[in-house]
Amino acid sequence: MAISYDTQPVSQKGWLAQYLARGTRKFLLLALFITGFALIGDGLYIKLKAVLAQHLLQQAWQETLTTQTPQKAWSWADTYPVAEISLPDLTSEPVIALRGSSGEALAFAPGHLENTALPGQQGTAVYAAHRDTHFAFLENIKATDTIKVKDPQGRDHLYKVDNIRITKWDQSGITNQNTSKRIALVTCWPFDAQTPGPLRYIVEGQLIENLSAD
Amino acid sequence: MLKTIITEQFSPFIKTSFITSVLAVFFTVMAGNPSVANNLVTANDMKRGSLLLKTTEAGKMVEAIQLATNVEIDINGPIARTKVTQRFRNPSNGWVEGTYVFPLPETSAVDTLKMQIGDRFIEGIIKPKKEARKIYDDAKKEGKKASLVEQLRPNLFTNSVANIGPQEIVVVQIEYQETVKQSNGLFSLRFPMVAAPRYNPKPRIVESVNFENDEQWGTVKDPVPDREEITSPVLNPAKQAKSNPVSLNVNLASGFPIGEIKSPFHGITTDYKSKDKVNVSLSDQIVPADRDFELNWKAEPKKSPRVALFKETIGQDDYFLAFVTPPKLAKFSQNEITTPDREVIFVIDNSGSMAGPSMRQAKESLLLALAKLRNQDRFNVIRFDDTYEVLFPSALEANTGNLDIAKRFVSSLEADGGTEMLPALEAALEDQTPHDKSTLRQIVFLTDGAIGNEKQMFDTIVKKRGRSRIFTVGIGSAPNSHFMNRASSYGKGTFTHIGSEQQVRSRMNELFTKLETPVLTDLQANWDKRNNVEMSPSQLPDLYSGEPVVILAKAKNTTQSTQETLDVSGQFANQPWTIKLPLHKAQQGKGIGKLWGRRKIAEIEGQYFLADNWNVLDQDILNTALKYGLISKMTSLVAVDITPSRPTGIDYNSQEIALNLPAGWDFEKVFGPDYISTSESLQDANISPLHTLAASDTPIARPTSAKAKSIPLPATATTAELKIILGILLLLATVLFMLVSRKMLPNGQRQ
Repeated sequence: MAISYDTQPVSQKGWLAQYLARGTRKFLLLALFITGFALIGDGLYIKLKAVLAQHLLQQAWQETLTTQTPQKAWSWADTYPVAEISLPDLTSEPVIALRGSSGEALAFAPGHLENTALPGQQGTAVYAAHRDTHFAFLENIKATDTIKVKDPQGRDHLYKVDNIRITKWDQSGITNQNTSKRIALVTCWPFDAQTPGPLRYIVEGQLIENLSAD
Repeated sequence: MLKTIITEQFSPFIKTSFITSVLAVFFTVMAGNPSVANNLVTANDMKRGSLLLKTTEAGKMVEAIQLATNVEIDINGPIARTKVTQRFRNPSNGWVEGTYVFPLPETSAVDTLKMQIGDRFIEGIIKPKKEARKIYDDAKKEGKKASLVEQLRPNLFTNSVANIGPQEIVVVQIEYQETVKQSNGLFSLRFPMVAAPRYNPKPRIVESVNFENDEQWGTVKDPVPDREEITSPVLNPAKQAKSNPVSLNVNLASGFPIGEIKSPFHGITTDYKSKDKVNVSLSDQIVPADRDFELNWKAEPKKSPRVALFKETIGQDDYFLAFVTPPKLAKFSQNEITTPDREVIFVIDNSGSMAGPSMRQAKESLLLALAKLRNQDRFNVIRFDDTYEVLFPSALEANTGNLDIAKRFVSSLEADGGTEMLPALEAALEDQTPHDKSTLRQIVFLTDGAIGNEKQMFDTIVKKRGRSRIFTVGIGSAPNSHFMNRASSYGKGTFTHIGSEQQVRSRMNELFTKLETPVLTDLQANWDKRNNVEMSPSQLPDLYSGEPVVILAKAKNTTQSTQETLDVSGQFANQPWTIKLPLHKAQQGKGIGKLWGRRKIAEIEGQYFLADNWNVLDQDILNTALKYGLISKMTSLVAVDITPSRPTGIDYNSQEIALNLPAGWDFEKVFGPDYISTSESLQDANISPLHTLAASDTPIARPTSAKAKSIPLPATATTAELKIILGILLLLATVLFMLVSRKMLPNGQRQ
């Protein structure tokens, strides 16, 4: 980044070089400014998308609950809401989870991993979300806290957190072949790192009861 | 440059501060949850067949000492029947309930369970799942010994045993059968000893989906994205290895002179009884159960069987199993066969769900495919998201110019937008020369299959398929394998799954070999003079070199006529080919009926995605499973006490148990002198309460087992904050730069 040029009064020949250098400098400044602005904008856009999508998803989710059929939140969506996750102990806003864990889905909401159990079922239901948006609250969760998952039929499934751990993404130890009914909320770790890494923060819970919405 | 500076400066700071907090979190977790630190496990921790004993802590179990396992495999032609016998001990002084979790090959038909608990012999019978569960629970409450085998997944089973007495020994025997795999003249059979790392569950149905008339909710994903990447066996801890010894014996009656016989992962000794009968055992006799056993065998050169036909008669029905290898494919080696001209249509998904590594892999795969085209081949490329675009108005020659255009087109693709696959599929199926049989028309579909209108897609494929063949390539860690599997089977092609960038080359090369090898098309099987023949698969797929046609069929048992034949016919490079198999010459084969039943169940399970009424399908599965005596998602084996008690005054040991064996039980090998009881296990057994045993400071089961078979977790970090920080820094840098440069300018030159 060290740009040095002659600051002394210059000869005829050097003047042209300085003129050019000044043009380059202006251009560089402008480019830096625009890039900086664009980066901030892009970063904010990711955050904004995460927040706005949840509002649209809330509507779609309410429709899902009343119509009992999958409702896309926007017409071109690849996926649809499948659950509402809330943490009664943390008084955080409930989040709507989408089916699937593609990068596209995770930009809008937590994703329910396709090959895992449905809430309340035998196996492990795995939900993943970004650490800096929808699952930021996982940082504050502790053992014995309750995780509430509402399924599309409006039934609430309560899970009690019994294990919190950090593993590499491909060594989660979650297999979905367990006979018990469990849940796992998964996000990237460490929480305030700035770059993506291989570590995942896993909050696991065991089903405690099946409640009906009505 | 700026980026590097930031990461360099910030990451050490981030690292140190977070290592401390990681440790803090870890210690709190450990303190709050002591069971992690001892030997207690949950069922999902288990990676191999193990007997878990319930403890006083809910959901936690302790692994019983596995004293010995004996495996007897009888291979008769294409059918293999495996008998697995395992011996466990209840190490505690209390009465316990054991849960035995065991993996089996995906297509195995489990039909027999026998169990010996101390002095009690228990034999399982097949019952509807709920009824079986009730029988078991009732027996458990009444203090009776009982046993229940349930299917957890099509390839994972649990066996519960109630009321095992203190220090009692339990012997479990399971029997199942499967067909031998055959490819390129190589026959092979695999026995899973460890569930991981080779235990690759087939995509399966997500159970209990509640929305009717909507197939979306039952979507299936392949849970093991890097199936073939995982090849190195994970070593068990020394203790497990010692306590889980396996002896294995194979009686192979191949039905043809055996040329070569190999086991890739174990040393074996062979004892030839005759040219086509061999007894195979492990050279080490006893091995730890740390890797799967695989046996591969070949016929003597030129003696490879072209045709095999087996029959089993049960009541009114005849069950047939036929293997046919087409003549030319068997006679010529691969490079002797000329590859016909091809027209290849590549369809690539660039919708938003492909964003990231999936898109990279798809592009890489497609570029590789383009590079593989020969000059005389014709090709076209279609991309789709919620719109679609066809590169050339019609398929063009694969010359350098056209390929360059295609490569540029592919390289510039970016993942965005929704997924509308149907129009792209229809465009790909549009065939300008539908009657040109001399060219192979192949459609290669690269997608993650994140779509909802599967049924519509299948309909389109079936209706408009024509001479085109559809090869699906599933991209990404969790593609919709169900859709792609079925799409390719309706399209008479194959499904290839690419789970990671490392797999692109090897998997695509496999696919190319198929695409380039001439196929035997329009395969048909005609059952001459027989009516009501049900066949599986009902529609025969195209054949590629080295693969046999495998047909399972069920027919009404009629009076035998020597005239009856099974005619298999097809088109080989535009030349018709037929083979007639005389039915009366079929060899007797045991267990074909059960294989048929298992295949039927798998077929019914495959219909869940398209069906409106699941109860009907459940009922179908139940009836089929009951008829053939198989465990399924609707049926379980429940054991009833058949020998009430043993003579009093006799302590059980290996000899006593051997004396008490009912006919047909081959437990001797399990009770080999070396493994009656080791001093180590005796020590364990002396500790009375289960919890004390559990708390012993042996290595935790978790870290070793956690590695394998885990569900891979998606990346869950956005770059939002990084971008914002970088942006702010850039703006600051700009301002700074402006200030500095102004200062440095001579006064007169200010603007």
